[in-house]
Amino acid sequence: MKVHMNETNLLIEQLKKQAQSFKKEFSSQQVGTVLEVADGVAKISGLRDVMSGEMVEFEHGEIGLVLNLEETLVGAIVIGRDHQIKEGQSVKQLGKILSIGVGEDLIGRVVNPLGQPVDGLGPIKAEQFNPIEKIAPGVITRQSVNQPLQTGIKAIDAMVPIGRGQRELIIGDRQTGKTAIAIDTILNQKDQNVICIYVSIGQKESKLARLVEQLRQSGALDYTIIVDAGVSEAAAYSYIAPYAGAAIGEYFMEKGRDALVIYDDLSKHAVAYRQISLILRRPPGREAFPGDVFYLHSRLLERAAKLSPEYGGGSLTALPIIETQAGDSSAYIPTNVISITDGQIYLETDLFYRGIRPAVNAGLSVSRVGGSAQTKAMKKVSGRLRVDLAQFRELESFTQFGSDLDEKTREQIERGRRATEVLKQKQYSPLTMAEQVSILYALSNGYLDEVPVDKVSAYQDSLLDYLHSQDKEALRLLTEVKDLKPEVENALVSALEAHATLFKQENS
Amino acid sequence: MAKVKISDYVLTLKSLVAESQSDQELSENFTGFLQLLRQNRQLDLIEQILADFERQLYHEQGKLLAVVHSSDRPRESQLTAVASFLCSRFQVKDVIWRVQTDLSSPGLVIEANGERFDWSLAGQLERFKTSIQAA
Ligand SMILES: Nc1ncnc2c1ncn2[C@@H]1O[C@H](COP(=O)(O)OP(=O)(O)O)[C@@H](O)[C@H]1O
Ligand SMILES: [Mg+2]
Repeated sequence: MKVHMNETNLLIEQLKKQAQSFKKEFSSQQVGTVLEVADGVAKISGLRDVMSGEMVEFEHGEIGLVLNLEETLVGAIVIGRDHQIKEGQSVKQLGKILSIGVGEDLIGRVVNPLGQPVDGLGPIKAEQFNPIEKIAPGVITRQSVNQPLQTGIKAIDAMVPIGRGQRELIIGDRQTGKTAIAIDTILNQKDQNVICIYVSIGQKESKLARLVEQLRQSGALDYTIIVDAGVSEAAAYSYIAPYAGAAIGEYFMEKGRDALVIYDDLSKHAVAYRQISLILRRPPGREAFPGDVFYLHSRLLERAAKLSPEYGGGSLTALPIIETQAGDSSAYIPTNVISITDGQIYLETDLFYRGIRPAVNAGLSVSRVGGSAQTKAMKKVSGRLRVDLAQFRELESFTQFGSDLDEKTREQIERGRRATEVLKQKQYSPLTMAEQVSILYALSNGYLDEVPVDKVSAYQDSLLDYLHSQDKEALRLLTEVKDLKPEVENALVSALEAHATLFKQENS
Repeated sequence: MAKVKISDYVLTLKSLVAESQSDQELSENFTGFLQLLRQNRQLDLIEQILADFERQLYHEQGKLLAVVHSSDRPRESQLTAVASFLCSRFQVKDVIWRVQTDLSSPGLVIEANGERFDWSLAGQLERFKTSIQAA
């Protein structure tokens, strides 16, 4: 609609009038009545204008979160205990979206999805209250992703690079190292000015306790917040946990900072939602998941963003985790989340048990926006890696039939074997961009061709040791220039040559 | 509460008006916009948003929106004089008036482009008073 000068007046008048009547309609507070309450869910009648996500207050002060709206009925999950809520009691509409207290004080703490401490370390001061659900006004404040969020994991930073503000799914069966990748990524944010939020959904207390201890020992709690919805808590907690994590992340993003939020995992989140839905008796959709489960995860992941400079330039990167059953990514929840995210890191049980850890499937893993967020140096050394690896896998299965190989194929296979070795990486040992580039450069320029496959790991350790102690120029230049400019490449080549001689002597 | 900024909303409102093909569609879109405000608990911002939106619309047309406060309807000659002052000061072709008869003192107070010009009798007396005190 093109607005002409003389129409401006009319347009504004029309909008003002409409706003007035809208405001009038929604200004009155309402009171409803509890019809029934069971399993932490209350059905309420008489609340006309309440919205999904709003808070209601029961007679004894319990808070309910409205989830389900029908013509005459409202369903609300009770946050906390429901034993005092009885049929016939009144329910007040609070006119507020469920909010969580946020602020710097959260850093280093373990909280429940309402932002309350559960680590016994005393109260947490909230600087403000953020709604756990927020609808962004559009894409105007966003900017394209252009800065890397380094995981410190070679297989990921080289082949599936993640950019700040991106949503990258980590997907795989149980025990394939999904959580391990998330935790390593947190460890790698040390001194990177990234606030990390780890949302734990339905994990055993002992498991989370070990994880928190690991973070503490590595000094990662100095910049990390843990939101815990434990397996023993009500489904309501699991349901709101990821939104609470997003709200905390947004607090930092809006202050112009970079934040990373990990949802571990959204499969359990969907299960909690299904439980609640069954109690609310929503009609189940495919695979017994309610039809709006798509929206459940899309509205969560939409909140990841890189803000443009006018809006402070902050970012919120999201790493959702999905646990598949027997590698089936075509099930409803995985398909959904894959369609929402900007790519996925695909982990495979088969690779994991063959000792290829992290068990990243290079063929299936992609990052749709991350490439533009890679440093030039990394881009140069990793360019063909994914393709080479995929080709190698193909050739490898081919050779099992014992066919004769020509020289070129044999070379490709040998290179592929070494590439696979190079990409193996222990837990809790993230590498810097410069370290990764050095190793990958060595690989693609043939420095590993003479090294036996079972010595590749030793070669890496020895090379890194050499670069840190004997010849520091290469790493320094790489860190500074971030590109393989002639001077940088020269320094790297001379270090690699010198090290090769040394390594040969040591291993002969 | 972390709030979406007014400027964000104004931009959203702008694109929404531009996209609307009919009055009907505009009204529907605007209801959606109001719902968005309500969900973010910022419905109270609507007056400010509309005011900013209106100012920007006029600005794009090379016009300046000015609010005139006076005790009763200002005379045409008064407005013409003020308009030529505003046009040269803010480099605009035209001034759109919003007249509000809410001043108790004679004279005019003008608000435009975030500035306030007090030509009311009370204002002039006040300035006179401070200049004497300063001397
Ligand atoms: N890169 C790795 N190297 C060696 N062990 C690993 C690696 N990644 C994960 N593990 C181990 O594998 C097990 C499963 O990892 P975990 O991250 O808990 O899997 P998931 O979250 O997929 O269930 C853990 O005992 C973990 O220590
Ligand atoms: Mg796990």
